[in-house]
Amino acid sequence: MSSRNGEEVMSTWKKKSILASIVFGASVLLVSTPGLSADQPKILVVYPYLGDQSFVRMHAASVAEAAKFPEVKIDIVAGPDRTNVEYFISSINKAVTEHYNVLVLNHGGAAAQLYPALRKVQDQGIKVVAFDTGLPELAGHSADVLYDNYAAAKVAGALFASLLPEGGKIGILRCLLGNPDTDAFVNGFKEAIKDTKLTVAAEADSKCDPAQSRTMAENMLTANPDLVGIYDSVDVSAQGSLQALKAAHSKAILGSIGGQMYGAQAIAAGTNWKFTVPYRFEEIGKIAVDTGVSVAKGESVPAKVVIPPSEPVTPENAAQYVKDLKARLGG
Amino acid sequence: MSIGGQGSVPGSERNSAAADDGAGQHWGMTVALGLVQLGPAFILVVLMVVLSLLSPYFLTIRNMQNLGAQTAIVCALALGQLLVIVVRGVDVSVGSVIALTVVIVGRLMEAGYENGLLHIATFLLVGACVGAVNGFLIVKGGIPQPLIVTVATLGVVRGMALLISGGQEHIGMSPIVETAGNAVFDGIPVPAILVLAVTLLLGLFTLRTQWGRWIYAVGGNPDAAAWLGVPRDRVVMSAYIICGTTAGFAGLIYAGRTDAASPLAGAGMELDAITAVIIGGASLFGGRGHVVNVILGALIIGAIRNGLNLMNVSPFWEAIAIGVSILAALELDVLRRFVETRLRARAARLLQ
Repeated sequence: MSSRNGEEVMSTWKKKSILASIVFGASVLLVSTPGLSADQPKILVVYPYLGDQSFVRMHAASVAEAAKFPEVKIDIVAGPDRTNVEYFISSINKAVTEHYNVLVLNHGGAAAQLYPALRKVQDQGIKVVAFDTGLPELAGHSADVLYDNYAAAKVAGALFASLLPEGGKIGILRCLLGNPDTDAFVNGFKEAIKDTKLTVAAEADSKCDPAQSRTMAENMLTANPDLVGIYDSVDVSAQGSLQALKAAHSKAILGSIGGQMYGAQAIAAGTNWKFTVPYRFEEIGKIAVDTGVSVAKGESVPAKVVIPPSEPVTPENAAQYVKDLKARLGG
Repeated sequence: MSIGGQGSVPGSERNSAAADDGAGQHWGMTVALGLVQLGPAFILVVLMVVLSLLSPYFLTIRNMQNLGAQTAIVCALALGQLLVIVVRGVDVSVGSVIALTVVIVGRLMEAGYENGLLHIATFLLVGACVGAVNGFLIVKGGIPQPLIVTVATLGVVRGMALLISGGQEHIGMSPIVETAGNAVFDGIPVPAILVLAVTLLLGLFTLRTQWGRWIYAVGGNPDAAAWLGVPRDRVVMSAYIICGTTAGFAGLIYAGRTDAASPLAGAGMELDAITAVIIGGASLFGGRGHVVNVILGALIIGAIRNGLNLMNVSPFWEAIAIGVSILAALELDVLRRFVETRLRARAARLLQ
């Protein structure tokens, strides 16, 4: 009987020591897990994807800027494609479950589907900052950090008008039909040329794909043999339009918005591509993080930060722009 | 009453007239049947007539050259897709394969490997490898739904393209690649010439080789084919490998046309490829399809898009217009089959 009692005692001690070990281990884990200090603000920065140079440059600037705030935990994430709503919603939910203080979001144009989730997040006390594209329907969110797309497009329109004083027919290629950024790029351009001798003879959607834009540009040139210019709302599709113009030995000029390296190089090389209005990716990425940090620290921020367009890249300054951009991108 | 030479048998003139009339009708039936059996070619001709009436620029030499070049990528994708559909499968990863192949070649250019022949080999081999993976997973992996497998590889391959490129586009391809996608030879775009060459090759393969006939056998009745000793698994796998290879070939044309390597290349083109195969008369249930009709299917899609652009249809309406046009083309094919059935029946009655 005594040996049975001894076995029971041993079994009880075994259970208790196992339980104690588990509790001790969990405590160590909880304490050592970074970012769970009660005083350290947490910011989640969400990008749609890193599928083109625009987002890659913005993201790199955000990462570099985040490193300047060691007192704030800043996590920067990116999804699989531009308008993946499921990814955005899971990121928004992550902000709640992992107790972030601020959500800094670049939704890439998918805002409409995200409002319900964002309102819930705000109800949980998490502040929301939008960047690159705003959240006009989200009442009470902390700030929008935006590029003045409309103004940039007006610069593009004015440039077209100055390069084509005789006027003539032009074609417009937009990217991502229905995206508010694209709409601004096109509407601003049309506003700028409305009192000039330029007329929009053709308009198409290239879906941001250079192969599609080449096809659209070829068809525009076929249907309008006297086309004098093509305006592409983004550089990546302008690359395709350039091929169409070259193949057709057309003298029509090409202009775009973006300020990508390859665009500037084509301009410097004296091709049909005559200008690109730089999109200030690095500033947007940097200011987005700065704004998020300010909000996390309880500082007041302007409701809207609008970054104006910078000087367009033209044949006169393209070579220098390429040099400066290479230096900025580290080679 | 004389027979066989003098005069005529009572009523024979009426019989002779009736026989002439019957022969004429039969001839008419034969011609009508022949026309209707042209299938996608018939639809394409009707479409081109309509578009040429709607736009004075459609039937110009320049536009026909453009059309040949513009449809080359989808033609290339559709040729390989046909074989997969014939064996009762589908491959939706082909668009992503375009991205992976162009990105890898872009990286080769950046690393200083500018040999055009190396690039061409890379396009084809990378495509074949992805096709082999798809085929292996479907045949040996025990996953019963080819669509699910290729949806998964669509994501994996696109992700690989993004990873390898770092999200950056590369600009500038080797002269051979540029020629393949861009040049014109004797008034014919080189991409169109290359597609015709591949069509001829695949046509000979499917119609003149035993392996090609096995592909149709497996698609028509996989179990019966297996019982008859056809190496079913290897045949299915070969279809996916060819499909991947033609996707790599499409990547070559893409890179040549755009002089760019974008990790977003080819997005959505898999749907165009599948649509081209179905418009070309292949059956999604397998066992039926012809390479020439696939080219015609791709040309139908390309002509619709081209025509809508020439007419400057608003981009907000373009997607609707393309969908409606494709439905109209498919319905025209249904009507064609109905007419064909009726004409056959009538021709058979006339023969009696």
